[in-house]
Amino acid sequence: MGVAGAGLCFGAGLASQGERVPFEVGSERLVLWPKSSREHGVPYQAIHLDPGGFDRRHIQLRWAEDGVAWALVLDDERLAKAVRTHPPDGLRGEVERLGARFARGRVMSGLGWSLVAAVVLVPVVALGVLWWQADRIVDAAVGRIPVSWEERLGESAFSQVAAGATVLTTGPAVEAVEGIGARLTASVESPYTFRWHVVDDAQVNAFAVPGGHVVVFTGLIRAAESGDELAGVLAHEIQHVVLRHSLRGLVRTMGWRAALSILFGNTGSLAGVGELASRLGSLKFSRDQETAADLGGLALLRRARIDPRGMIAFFDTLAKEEHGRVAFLSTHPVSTERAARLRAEVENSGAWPTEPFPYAWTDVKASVGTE
Amino acid sequence: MPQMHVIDYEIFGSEMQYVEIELDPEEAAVAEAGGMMYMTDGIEMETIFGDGSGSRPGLFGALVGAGKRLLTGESLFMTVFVNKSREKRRVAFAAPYPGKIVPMMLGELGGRLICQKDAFLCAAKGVSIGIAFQKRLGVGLFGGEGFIMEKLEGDGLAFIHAGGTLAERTLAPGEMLRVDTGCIVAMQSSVQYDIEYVGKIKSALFGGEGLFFATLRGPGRIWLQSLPLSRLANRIYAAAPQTGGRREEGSILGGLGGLLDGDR
Repeated sequence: MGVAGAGLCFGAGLASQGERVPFEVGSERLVLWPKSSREHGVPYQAIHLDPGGFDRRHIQLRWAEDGVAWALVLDDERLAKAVRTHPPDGLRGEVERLGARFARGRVMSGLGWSLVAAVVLVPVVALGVLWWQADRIVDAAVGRIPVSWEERLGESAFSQVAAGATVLTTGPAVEAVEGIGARLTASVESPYTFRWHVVDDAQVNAFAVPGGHVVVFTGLIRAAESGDELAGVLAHEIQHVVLRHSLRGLVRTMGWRAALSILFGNTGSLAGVGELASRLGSLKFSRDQETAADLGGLALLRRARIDPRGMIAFFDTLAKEEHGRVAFLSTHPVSTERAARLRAEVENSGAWPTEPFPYAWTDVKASVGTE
Repeated sequence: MPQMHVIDYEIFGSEMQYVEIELDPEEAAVAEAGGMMYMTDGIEMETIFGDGSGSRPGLFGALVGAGKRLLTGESLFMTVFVNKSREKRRVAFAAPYPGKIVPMMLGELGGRLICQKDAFLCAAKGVSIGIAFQKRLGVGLFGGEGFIMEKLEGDGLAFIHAGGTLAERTLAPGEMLRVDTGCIVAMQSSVQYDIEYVGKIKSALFGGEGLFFATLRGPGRIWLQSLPLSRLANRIYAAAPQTGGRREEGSILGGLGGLLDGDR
């Protein structure tokens, strides 16, 4: 007793859209019982098996009788499976051939879908790796940028800042800033030539662009209570230059833009490099970079024999200020936490001998006007 | 096997058709939400979640069915029109674009029909409307019908809609027909749907028929449409003045002709 059931049958004398016909897969031949005619037997050697149907999960038994093509479609998957697992002897070869075709189809389909999955996943994975290894990649990239390139970049960034501002060239304030800067950098071994600029601007702000240009706004000089306080800020900025923090920020932003434009095909975002460079002075530093600059700055103060209490006091003053008015805060988020860390650091290492500055701070402040 | 409702119908119109269905008392028809044209007094409309075939019992079954319907780009809900009166009543459903409405006796077609995803118009209650997912990557990408097609199952009557003129053909076992992708409306589930590369790079690039043909291999009956809606929409869009297109019908004067015939 072989597999029996009903399948969709096409052939002579049957409805052209097929008829549901009971069949039995006997041991010698396939037997059909069409409604309109008598029992109909088909010898197995005439039958070919093919995958069939919309999703290729049916089995099609095809044969020819008197030049007419016949087919029995097993569209019931259980029936199809039964025939494949228990084929009569006469169909064994065809069933094996069919199994191979199914297997080949599965492999090809698997390959195709894996390819689609890969195409979809590669950008996601690439972004993930980029995100995960961003610091390492940025470090490597920054390490390859020569100082001369950095100086040119800083030069152009500074000239853009200077173009829209009044840069003071003489006066007690310029002398004080240059003097304090020189004293701080005397002990710094770096490939950079530091240049100090005082810009007449009421904002409480100071920033460093790559390559050694440090800009101090007169507003900051007015807000500082002593030369020591200004020295604290300058020491901090010197550290940003030496540790190449702005450059790192630039490379990181540019790298993300490049990566995103490659992945999403939007080349428009690459055009913004120049515009980005011009905003170098306003790049935000990370918390870690700020801490590094604070501690490095403190070490500079010690080597230059400058009282660290000025730096701490200035941070305390800034922390009290309202955020909107003090531009320095938007690029250097100052918190009481940072002042506290500095204080602890100073206590740890103990006080060091200090030498006062030769400037009368009140004269310096007076020379840049009052609010 | 769920109870199928036997319904009588009449199709009106030639190129823009509607079908009027006669419902005996307590008989019902399901349709895509928004397909109804008119209904006589005594027919009540009810919006249901799923297709009302009752083939998947329970809330979960209904959710699965509705989710699949979302995939075909149709609404989550279908509307059931039930005749609650004691006499015969009529409800009509209109085709959404020029073409033909085709009645399909699913029982005579092996109980299962695969159709293009927006072809379904309405059916006797009891017909299950599911999706047939195209697992073959090439066919899904280049076959013109995408990866999702609709699968109508049951013994009852269903109406599908084809754009333009309808071609109905019966393929003998092994007989093959090459079809422009996009022209397929429906096929019996025994038909093999495949794609075939046009063969020559020159015809692929300049022949205007695309890179692939759809091939349909028998046995089984197939229904083709002469004008897929997307093709019609493309032509209309290209000719719309807002999109800068201006397709003159045989005017050798071009822009001047447009000026002369006044439709500026």
